Amino acid sequence: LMKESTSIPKLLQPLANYSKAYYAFVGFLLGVIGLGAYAYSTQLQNGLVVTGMRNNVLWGLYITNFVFFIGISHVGALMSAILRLSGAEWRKPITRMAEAITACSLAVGALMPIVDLGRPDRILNILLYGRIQSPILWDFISIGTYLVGSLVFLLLPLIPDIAMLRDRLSGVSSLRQRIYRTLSFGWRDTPYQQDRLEKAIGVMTILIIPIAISVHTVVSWIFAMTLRVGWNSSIFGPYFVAGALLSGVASVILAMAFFRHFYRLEDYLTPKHFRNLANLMLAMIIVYIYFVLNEFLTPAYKWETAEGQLLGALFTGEFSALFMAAQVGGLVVPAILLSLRRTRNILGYSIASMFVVVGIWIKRFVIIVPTLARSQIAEFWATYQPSWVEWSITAAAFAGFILLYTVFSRVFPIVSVWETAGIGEVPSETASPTTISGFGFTASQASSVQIGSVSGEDL
Amino acid sequence: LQIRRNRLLLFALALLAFALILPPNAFALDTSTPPAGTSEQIKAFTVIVNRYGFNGTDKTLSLNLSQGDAVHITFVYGDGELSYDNPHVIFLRGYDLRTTVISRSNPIATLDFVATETGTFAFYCLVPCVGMENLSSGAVVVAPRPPGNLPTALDVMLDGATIQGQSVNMAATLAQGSQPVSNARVDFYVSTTFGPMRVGTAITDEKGVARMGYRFGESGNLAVIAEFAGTGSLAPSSKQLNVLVEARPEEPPIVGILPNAMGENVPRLPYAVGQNQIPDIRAVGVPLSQSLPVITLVLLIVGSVWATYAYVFAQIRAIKSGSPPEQERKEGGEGKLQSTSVRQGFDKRILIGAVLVAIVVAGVFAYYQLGTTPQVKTETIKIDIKEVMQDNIERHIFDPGTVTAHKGNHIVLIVTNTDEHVHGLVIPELNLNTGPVNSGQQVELKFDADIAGTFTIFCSVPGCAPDHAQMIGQLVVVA
Repeated sequence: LMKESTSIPKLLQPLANYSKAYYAFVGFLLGVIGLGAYAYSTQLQNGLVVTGMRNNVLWGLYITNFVFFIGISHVGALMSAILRLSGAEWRKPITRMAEAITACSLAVGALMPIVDLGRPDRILNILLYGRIQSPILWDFISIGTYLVGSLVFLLLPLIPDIAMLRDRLSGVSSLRQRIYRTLSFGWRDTPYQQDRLEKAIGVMTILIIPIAISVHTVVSWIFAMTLRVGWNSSIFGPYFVAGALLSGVASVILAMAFFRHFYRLEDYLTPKHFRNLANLMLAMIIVYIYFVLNEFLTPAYKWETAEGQLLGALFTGEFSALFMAAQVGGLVVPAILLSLRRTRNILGYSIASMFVVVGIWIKRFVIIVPTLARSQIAEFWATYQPSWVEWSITAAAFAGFILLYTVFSRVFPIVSVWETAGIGEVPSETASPTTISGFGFTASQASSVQIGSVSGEDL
Repeated sequence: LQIRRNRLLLFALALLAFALILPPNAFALDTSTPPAGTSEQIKAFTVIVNRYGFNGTDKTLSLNLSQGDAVHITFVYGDGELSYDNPHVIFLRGYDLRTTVISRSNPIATLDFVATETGTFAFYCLVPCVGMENLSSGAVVVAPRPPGNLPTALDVMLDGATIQGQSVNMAATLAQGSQPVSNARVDFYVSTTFGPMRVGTAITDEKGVARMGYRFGESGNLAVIAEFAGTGSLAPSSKQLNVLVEARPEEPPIVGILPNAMGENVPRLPYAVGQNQIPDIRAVGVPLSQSLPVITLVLLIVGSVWATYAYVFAQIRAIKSGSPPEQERKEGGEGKLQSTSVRQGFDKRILIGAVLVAIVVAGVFAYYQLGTTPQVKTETIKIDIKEVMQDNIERHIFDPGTVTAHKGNHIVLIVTNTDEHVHGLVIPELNLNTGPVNSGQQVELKFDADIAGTFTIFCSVPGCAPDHAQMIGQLVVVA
């Protein structure tokens, strides 16, 4: 098994060589997931009383995670689709990372509302008794549609790569061989198949953009369709979409930094990629700051009674620390890091992204919980303290997301091989021109790719 | 290496499964055995209080006593295995005694009293603890001293019509022999699906009558039970009365309550199409047929997305087949132009097929929805606003002053202003308003007469004429 790695393209080496560190990492993630499973079994047995949620604050960490994960799932669809449509060639090494984030985070995020149910079997009631007039059903339909769409969008550009894995990765387990055989759909790289694939990708690229935007808009409507202070806002749709894109870009930068370091993909993920994404992130931060200004300045200027009580809790009250952490830590600090010449490098971008991801998560929490804690009737004000069960399940959700993502990157190439044909391989592998033969897009495709724009001045 | 990796994965999976199966309290100690220890002089009881009830069960726990006994009840906290504190406070009704907080830090509380009052006294947890529903069925039963056990008789009757949702008076008369018993406590129960529910308690007056008002929430055959628990020398007694409660007269669904022009909250007709009215997509209880436009639109949007998915899936299938369809293969080899047109034909067929499927699904849905609702008749009503002379005074009237419509019909109300002034027609209760209607102008209002009743018509243009306030008509919607 190991012997073969020398003749395997660089991008496929992580798929053949599994290190001890990898197993340790997977074991650690499984441990965290096990803790979450134990916590969930506690919740199933005793009901939601083991959480910190009560009558008033009935949405806590679970729904925070839900909105967060659905949020970062946008990046794959939107970023990759927009970059595909605009023909930005530099995107090629990073689109799959983004699309895989979409699929993995959606899978985890969609579970969160079910965890939030004391009786998960009652999720069926949405199908049995759902009313099309209800935002909950809109959510159900749009997330289901988006999940299918994003999986297809991830799968389509994978087909040629999977076919190559089927043909070239011998010595892997029979299960993996079967997966490769099934998911390559008999790809033999004929012009006919190329034509079909191009068509399918073209359609999905256009379709996935409105779907992705609609999904997060609908998620925001869960709040905005409710007559509660803090949620009763008309900007929630675009506001949530902007926050989603921001956190998504940040998580792609983190994933890129991770894979660049551990999978040795320096040839593919160049400083230029990081710089482009960092610029995109900075732009999104500015857009988001603009939305935050709109969200708070308009009610704060009027200070209507109930709004005022909520704003007081946010700015100076019990939520002020979290609120300020979200605004300063999640927006201002990364904006500074992304602007200063000294921190405009991969490490600086990664730290800024980490700030953004954590900040956006806290932001989701500060959108959801304070409104519920500040009931319109002052006698029913409540507090919310997440219990160990909720923290464990939250940790398990993140571990599950990372595990899915890691396993994906070990079973499928995390950088599209056929789309990046010619990048990185050219200098080192000139001696063996058969490197990427056996699957299409070799000579003709490689030459048609605008290599210069990717690897030119930045290498 | 392969085997070792698989084993590792298997081990991890097994751990995961084990964590899922294992109940969280698997390692907790069993504390359900009550500690022993009773005194000889006084009657002593030990009760374990946990989330499953008294002594670990939600069945009624009766502590039987005789009048005059000295009682010592020890309550022991039994939720020690929980990861969180689950405090309780036990309250004994009738004697109005309560324990101190029974919690993890204070696991034992006692009640000491002398059973002077006879009867059944419930004790339960006062705190909204976990399992409070199980901690509701304790009872201290104090039996009277045997010698003075006098039989009592209870009679119960209802005053008023037994109609669901309307008030009735329940009266229970308690007598001992021929003597009325005053100052006695009578409990009233009404049968429910889940057994008798105590609906109230009243004290008998000097005639031995205990009364309470009640509103039946359900209809059908129900039982009203009056119960006297006994006191002093009087024996307990009870009486059951079976009543047939008529169902509440059917009311139209109250939909989207919004303030009308007069600032009052009135039921609004769903989907009335008039001025300043938009369909209320939140409408709860609206027949599906009326929200059909919205639902069809949503289904069409979602359906077209899925139809496009179908197109993409068809592409994947084509990839799997690996070669162009039959005709193209016959054309042979690299005939690029030819094959492209054939391919486009293939694509078109798939697209047309997907769209057809979407249309058929939407059509079947629409047919099903429309087919189940009766055909709606349209009724046209004309109202003129005109000036007439009465006793040499100009008066402005709606002509005819009373118009009649039939419930269930679609109404077209044609309002014509033949006066020289600007007038308008408003029916606030139906949220219908023409707005200002100029002289000689005609305005149509369309709505569904879903609610029967008499609705007052006013002029909507204040100051239109000196007799603006007297411009009144009425619309009668007959069932």
